[in-house]
Amino acid sequence: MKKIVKVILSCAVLLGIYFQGWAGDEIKIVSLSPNLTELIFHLGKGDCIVGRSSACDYPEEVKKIPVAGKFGAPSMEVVARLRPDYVVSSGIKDEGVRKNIEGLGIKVLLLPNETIDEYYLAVSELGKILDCQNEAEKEILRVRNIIAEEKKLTEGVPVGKRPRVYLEVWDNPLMTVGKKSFVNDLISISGGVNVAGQEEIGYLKCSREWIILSKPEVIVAPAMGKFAGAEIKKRQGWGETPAVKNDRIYVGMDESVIYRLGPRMTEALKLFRKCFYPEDKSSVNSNGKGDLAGQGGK
Amino acid sequence: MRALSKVNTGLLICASIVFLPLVFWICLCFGTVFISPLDLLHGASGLGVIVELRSQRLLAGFIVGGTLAVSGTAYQAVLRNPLAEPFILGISGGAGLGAAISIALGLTAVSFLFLPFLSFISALLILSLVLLMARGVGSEYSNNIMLSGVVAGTLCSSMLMFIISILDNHKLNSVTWWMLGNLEQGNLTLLVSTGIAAVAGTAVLFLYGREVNALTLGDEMAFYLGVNSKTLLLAVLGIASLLTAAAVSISGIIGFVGLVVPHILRRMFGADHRKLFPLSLLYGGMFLMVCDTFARSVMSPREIPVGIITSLIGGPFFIWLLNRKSSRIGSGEATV
Repeated sequence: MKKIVKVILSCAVLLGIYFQGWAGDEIKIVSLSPNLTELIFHLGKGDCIVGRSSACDYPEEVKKIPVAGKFGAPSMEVVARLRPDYVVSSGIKDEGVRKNIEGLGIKVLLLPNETIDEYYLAVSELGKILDCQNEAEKEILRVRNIIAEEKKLTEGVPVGKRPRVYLEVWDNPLMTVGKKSFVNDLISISGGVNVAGQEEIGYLKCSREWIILSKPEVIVAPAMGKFAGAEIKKRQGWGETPAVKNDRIYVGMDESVIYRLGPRMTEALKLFRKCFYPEDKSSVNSNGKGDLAGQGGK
Repeated sequence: MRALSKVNTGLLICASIVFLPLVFWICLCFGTVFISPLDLLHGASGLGVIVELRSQRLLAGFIVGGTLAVSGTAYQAVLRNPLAEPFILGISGGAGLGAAISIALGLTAVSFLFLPFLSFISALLILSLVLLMARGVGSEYSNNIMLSGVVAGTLCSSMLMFIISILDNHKLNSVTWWMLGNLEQGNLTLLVSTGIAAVAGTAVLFLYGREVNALTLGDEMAFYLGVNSKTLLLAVLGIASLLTAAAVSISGIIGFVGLVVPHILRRMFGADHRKLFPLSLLYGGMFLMVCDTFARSVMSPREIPVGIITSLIGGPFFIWLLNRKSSRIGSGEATV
């Protein structure tokens, strides 16, 4: 009798292992960057994600996935328990942690996200490892097309006529985007001129005096709350800027659309264009948020 | 340099007061763009806002720098320790904690006044805690006070580190920026009230100048000269700490001004505190005005935190001072 029980149990264990192997045929991924998480979902491979960073919050279903660390900082214990095939991230803060993960036989894939070209690279890399090259190609084509369309919409506007844009990343200290940030590229694709576009850096802290002297015609402050417009107008000396004089301050947007180099960057382009050219009704796309223009400070 | 210490106090202070507008005027020229000093005199059009912003910032620099230098002078004198500085009693830790709490809770978004208010209050709380911890009387009192200050400072910074570790990136940036010192966000009312407090505090310390001189000679000597050393110590520390807390609440933590300026002045003008307190206010203020001008112009439009500039200038100076001290020990004489 005992023998029979033993045989049955062994079979059950073996069967279990077999089915686990079979069910786990799909690649398992831990994504530590919100933009890559969005991208994987966009490619239709959201099921592959077994762990995410605490910063990954889009799309909604991502919130059911267990958290495996902070943005770019994995929790070793959780990663070891989840046993993914890959850990993907735009960067890992601690090189030692990366070696530890690789020591567990898990591949670490770093896909930087500083420029739009790097986004294309990330898409094709993920397409390869997730076995969805077709979708990846489609995504690259989609983004390229939308960028081309956006450029076409404003290409007739001479450089001197394009609005000078100050994008406020944060208010204390005042921070904006420089030449090396993809947000700068998004601004110029949408037909704006970033006032800090000459600065050879991604993000920079800047002085009030400099902002006033650079005379921005449009102020965009996506991360600041809905009441930031009134606060910006009240700032000492800012009343001199064309943006405040003409009430062209745009606040209270979904910052994850603007600051995340993911599939939704195309929405960011449309949002920006609506801020820069509010009078151009033909260019307003239904995907963008229609109630943005002129919302600031009123 | 010795000759300067013999000059009449009133004359010296008057001369320094004349020097002040000159420094202010030169600093006013520098920034994102250079404005020629003559244009400033003529009041060139379109510069109004910029000049206003710069003046306010220079005023903040003067008040904060002056206050820190006066407090530093007071601390060094009554604690009889050349390493004493305004933050030694844990005020920076307390103020930092208050600032971090107001940023972490998002109170700064409600009203920017929360940050200076909370940092001032928590600096005062920490100060009271330090005085309470150090209440063991006797000849060790000043050492007790410093040790309690260090302990309170360490406690605060560990709590601060905890807050920092759970903050998101943007808020972390705000806290770090605040900790490095920044003179930009000065609210004029707040600034003027701190300025009045600074002048009043310096005047009171100036009146105590004689007694402070006696205290620098040691408790015993002060006793023979009719000075109640413990009461004086508490009064001077109290005033200096209140001033520091007020300055820190508007500017964040700016190091080295309170340590270095008193040392320079003591070497140049002698160790008479009746001279040193007003001179510290003037030269501490001018020093920070100049440092802040560097901070906002050198890498414009990027800003360098002013605390970095003061440390860059103050650090090497302090090493020089330490090396020099061994060969010239006891050179500073006090006049009673």
